Amino acid sequence: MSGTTLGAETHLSRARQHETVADALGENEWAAVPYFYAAYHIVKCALIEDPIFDDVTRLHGKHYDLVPDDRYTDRHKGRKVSSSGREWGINELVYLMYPSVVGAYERLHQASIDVRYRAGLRGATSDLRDCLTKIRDAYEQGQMRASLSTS
Amino acid sequence: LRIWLDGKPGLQQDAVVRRSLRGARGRSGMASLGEFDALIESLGQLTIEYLKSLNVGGRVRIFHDEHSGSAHLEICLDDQSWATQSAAIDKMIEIRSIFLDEIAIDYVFVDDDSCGTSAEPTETRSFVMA
Repeated sequence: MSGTTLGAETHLSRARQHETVADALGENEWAAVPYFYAAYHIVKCALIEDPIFDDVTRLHGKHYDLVPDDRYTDRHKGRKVSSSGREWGINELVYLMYPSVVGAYERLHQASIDVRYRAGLRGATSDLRDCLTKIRDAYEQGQMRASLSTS
Repeated sequence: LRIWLDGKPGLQQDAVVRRSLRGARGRSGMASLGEFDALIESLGQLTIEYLKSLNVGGRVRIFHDEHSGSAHLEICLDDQSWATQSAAIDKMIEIRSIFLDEIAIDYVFVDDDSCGTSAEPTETRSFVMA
């Protein structure tokens, strides 16, 4: 396990808190940041809870480099170090495990980068809220289970 | 290594892209620098090809590190609207999936005033967008 040791419930709680803050910011571009981190925590929760990580055979069916502890990754970006195996990033895991929400997740990630590192948000915060809603709905409806996802 | 690839019409290299990607994938692993370079070349060309399909010009700069098997792309779009960036994100998701077995990819979009500026002459660069 790397980095965080938060449990699934804590991630979910953090997601709700970030969403509340983002909603309170309204049209302020900084809403992009808590919207993204709300999505991040939902995905972290989904990964921890996902039963596919308890079944190595099914896990390798998704990708041969995946191992059970990858559910705990907290990196955004992965790396492929030959000596120590692959370290998956969350962005890659969202694509592999939950392809139905990867577009929404990446939009939130890029919007968050736009606000923090670039000249600012290009879109409307309402679009970002829609992205988060899509991810949250997928989680609440039990769709964020890799075994149920289609890639 | 930094590669600026011009995405404007006239530099189509589809055949080269597919051939080099096929060649790189056909080899066993990325042990030699040449093979990794072939992958990076393929990545750059394919990214340009995909972004061109959006009918918008742009450039891509690639920072790569063979040791970590990773590549970071800086994408400069001529049209920097959210709609175009959003469409480009979908393209980058496709690109990442194509290279998933070979390279860990991340990307950012850069602003007008960062496009084409000469960066420090380092060959690789670490990015933490946490």
